[in-house]
Amino acid sequence: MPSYAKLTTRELVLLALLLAIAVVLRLVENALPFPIQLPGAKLGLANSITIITLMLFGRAKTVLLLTARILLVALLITGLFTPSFFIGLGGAAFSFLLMVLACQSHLFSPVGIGILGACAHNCGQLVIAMFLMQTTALISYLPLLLIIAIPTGISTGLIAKYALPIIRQNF
Amino acid sequence: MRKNDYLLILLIILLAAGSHLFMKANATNTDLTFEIRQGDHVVQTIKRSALTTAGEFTISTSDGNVFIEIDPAKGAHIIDSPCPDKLCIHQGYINKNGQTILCLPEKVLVTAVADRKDGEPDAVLR
Repeated sequence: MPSYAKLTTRELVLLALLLAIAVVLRLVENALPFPIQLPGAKLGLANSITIITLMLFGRAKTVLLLTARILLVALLITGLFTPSFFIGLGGAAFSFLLMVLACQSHLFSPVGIGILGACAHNCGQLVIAMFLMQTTALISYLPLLLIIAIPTGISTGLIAKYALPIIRQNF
Repeated sequence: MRKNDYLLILLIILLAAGSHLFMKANATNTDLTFEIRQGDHVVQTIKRSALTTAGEFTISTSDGNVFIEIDPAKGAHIIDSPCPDKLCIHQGYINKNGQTILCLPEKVLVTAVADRKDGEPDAVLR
């Protein structure tokens, strides 16, 4: 794609830094206990990096970062092509799509984008899980996963909101 | 935060509450059958009324054995699983129609489904 070719050294370095932060956040999050024990319920701190990248670099470069993050996280934690890998991929893809739409509509602040992304991530995960297990029974997780997405979305959105001006100033 | 953000939160809360109430309306805990799935097929179905004492069921996976206990009073729960996160064990008992326990790394799913009486229609549209 032509837009990748235009990646300057400055952008490359910043993207690589953001990628490293996203992967480390994901690893740290894995070690932290989460009060609600439910498959798919996570803090989703790495999502704040996705929001920052989306607002700084636009769509194409965020896809690049997300793909790299998912592959790296798969190699480090879940393993490639395992059920958890596909579910994470589905969640990331769906949340990315909705966050792009939310970003372009200019209707929401970073906090709103974060909430929408968290919700979409949880719903995407659930859809892929239902497809993998060939059952609709998992829909019973939906209400709780939606509610959890609100605080986690607000926290990732707030991180993005406060980190964005600092990154803009310094790079 | 903008006004739209608050509207979004409200919408999500309404969606979650709506889906929760919808599922609660369909939930009964009278006659239940527990369905154990591995991957995309059902490996065992156990009627709760057929049990008098708690029964233990073992599902063997490539990583080891998943142990499921079904108690006629308390419901079904996962006792032990070789999965790394143990989320399935933490979920505790299920004993209402539609509830599920998923052990994603092992692809094991336990679902409580209401028994259908003979001759009862599948669904009624009003």
